[in-house]
Amino acid sequence: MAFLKAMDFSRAAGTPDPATVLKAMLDSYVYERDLLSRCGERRLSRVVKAVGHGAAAVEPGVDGLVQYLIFELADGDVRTYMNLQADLDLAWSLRTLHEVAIGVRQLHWHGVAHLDLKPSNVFTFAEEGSKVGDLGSALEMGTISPNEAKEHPGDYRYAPPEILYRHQPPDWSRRRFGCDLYLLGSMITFLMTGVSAAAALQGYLDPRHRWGTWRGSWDDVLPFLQEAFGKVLDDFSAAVHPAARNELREMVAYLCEPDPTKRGHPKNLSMKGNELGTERFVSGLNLLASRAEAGALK
Amino acid sequence: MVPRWRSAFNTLEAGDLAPLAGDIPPIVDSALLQEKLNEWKATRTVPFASDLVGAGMMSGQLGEVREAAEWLVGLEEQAPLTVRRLASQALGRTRANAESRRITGELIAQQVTKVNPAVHKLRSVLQRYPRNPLAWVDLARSYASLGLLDQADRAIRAAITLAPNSRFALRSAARFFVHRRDPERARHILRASPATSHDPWLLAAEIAVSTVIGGGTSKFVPTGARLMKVGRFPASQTSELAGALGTVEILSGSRKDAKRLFECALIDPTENAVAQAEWANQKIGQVGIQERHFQLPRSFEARARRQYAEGNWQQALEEALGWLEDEPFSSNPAIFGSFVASIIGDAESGADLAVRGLDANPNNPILLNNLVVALANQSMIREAREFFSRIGRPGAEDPDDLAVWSATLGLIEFRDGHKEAGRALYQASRTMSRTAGNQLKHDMATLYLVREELRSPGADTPELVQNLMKELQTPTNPIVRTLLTSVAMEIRGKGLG
Repeated sequence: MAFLKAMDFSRAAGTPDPATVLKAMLDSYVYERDLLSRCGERRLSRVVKAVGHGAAAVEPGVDGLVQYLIFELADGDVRTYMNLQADLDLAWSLRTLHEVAIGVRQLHWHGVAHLDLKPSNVFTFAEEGSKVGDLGSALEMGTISPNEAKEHPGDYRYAPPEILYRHQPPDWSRRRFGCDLYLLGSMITFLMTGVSAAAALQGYLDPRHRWGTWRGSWDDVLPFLQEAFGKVLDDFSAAVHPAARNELREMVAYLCEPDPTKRGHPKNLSMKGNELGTERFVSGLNLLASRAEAGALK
Repeated sequence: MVPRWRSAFNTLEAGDLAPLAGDIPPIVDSALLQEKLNEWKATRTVPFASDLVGAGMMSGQLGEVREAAEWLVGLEEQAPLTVRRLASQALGRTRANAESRRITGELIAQQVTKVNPAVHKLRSVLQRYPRNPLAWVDLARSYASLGLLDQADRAIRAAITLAPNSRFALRSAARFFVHRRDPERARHILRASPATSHDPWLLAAEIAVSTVIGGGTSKFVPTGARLMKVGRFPASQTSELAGALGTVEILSGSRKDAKRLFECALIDPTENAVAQAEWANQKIGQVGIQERHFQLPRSFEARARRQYAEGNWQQALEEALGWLEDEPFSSNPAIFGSFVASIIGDAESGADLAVRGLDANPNNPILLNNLVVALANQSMIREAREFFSRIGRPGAEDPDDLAVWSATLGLIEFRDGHKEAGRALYQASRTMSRTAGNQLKHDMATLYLVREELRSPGADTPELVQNLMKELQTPTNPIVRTLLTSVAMEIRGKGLG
């Protein structure tokens, strides 16, 4: 069995400029299809594989044509298996995070930024564990994507602050890979506390500084974001299992830092060419997960 | 017109951090919640509910997630606290951030003697997350209020390193470095930021600091004037800029332009602008201050100065207390208040204010002097001499300061039973004040001498008192009038008048 993602081009018909809309939809479909194909060739084990693609005519005419992608079928997304009502299954959560971090690392190694990493895009497989899915918003360095023109191709509701306040770094890597780091950190906060980083931050902001309200400069709002982030970290610490608290707090502090120029592991930030590296987070999560699975985290 | 330096919370509440109208509109997120709503309804689990509520909060679609939020809150201990807090926030039932910031803000605003808990709390906050410029600024302010200027310096520099273009950090740093008597450093920091040239609040700060430095006007005066003329910003955003420019005009002798600018400053002013307008009013008169201006929150300085100008000493003292609470690191409210206390003979309040001012400014000679006067008036001679010994004797080139020093020592000697020495010192003070052309200080020294003579009467007291009182011209100064009334009562009480 597999999962089918279909592109409904009939949506273009009701728009003022159907030709342009149709082209954009087709370009997006082709981009995602080709990106998935390259990911498959690269054998990215922690990225959901596309196993096929094609087109089917469901109605006569061009707008009755449905392009589709076929993915390996997951058992659900990560929300299906999280258990926040009973004692947190720490080992499962940490291993899932480790697998998600691997998925991000694999994509980054090949110059691909996911940009839409969120709970509904982390899929769980009974035998294989968790994988990162839905590359519909992804961008690959050095390629031309219809998404490149968008300020943020992904879901704004999980996005890092610099996107919400429209102050993205000019450097492509820092802008795109930096976003993924934030989203990885947000996955940590969600699996551990049930709250994404963006929502947690919003809750601690004065209404005047919230992203839907603020009309001032980035320089003037950033200190308030950082102040709120300090409180988010304190809440996170209080909520996380004591055995993993210090390490996970540190990771979230590095990954979800509101200032995009300072986001990342400090040891990477000082390394030219790998400032946004994910290796330390992968290994850190692996260590924690292994200890939890061995029963050493009590 | 140097910026006020308050806690981040109080500065925010005062409106000093209101954003300038931006050209970039906020992002409009039209993503629908329907899919998440359907997922939650189908599963009825906490992860789906919390994901839905979080997404709703981010997109402002709180109505759609209300049911899920209520459900989460209703789970009580079965849902993690973080999730229940998120749900409560979505339902508008908590204001976690405002409450915690208000508490921190009040903690910062407390009296100097209670500032140490604020230092402890802020250091703890920064240890857990050092990249918090607001906390660094508040920590600097707390240190400054304890007179720990080196520590404050390090903290404010940390804030500027983290937030080199933040209006709050820059204005706070400017105020600190002026307090530290390093206005050149304040100006350097302001000029180094590209934000200064287009933010009226920062322009105001730079122009004010340049005025403090002297030696010519700020190079940003034309920029500030242009910004005022263009009229791009509302009056509330340009109040302090107008006040700073008006101050420049007063100092360069242009009364007409100064009045025009202060009129602008007072349309929708900050309390700082009102205080400056009150100063301007004393200088050139008729700058258009209205009663409503004194009702602004935290308008302590403006009200204190107005009450002082009208001779309402008790009210001036009360406002000085509020002013000191508002600016615990500054010597100005403590100097002002302890002096006012001495006029009305409230030695206890005078000593308290002077001590609090000295906590933040340990070697301020004026505060030391005022404390000595208050202690001597309470016959605490040993303590008075101890603090007096910390005041260096001014040189002959500072006749005003020397006159004050001489009078204060004269008071100590009188209260210590050394009448002849006391008399000689007061006479010296009167002579120096007259030579320096300071009628106020001369008259005050005369009246204080009369008071001390009445307290330790001798055979020559009636004649001496009569001769001294004859010297006093018809006073117009409210201070002299108040002291004269008090002394006249004492004279009558002794049966000499």
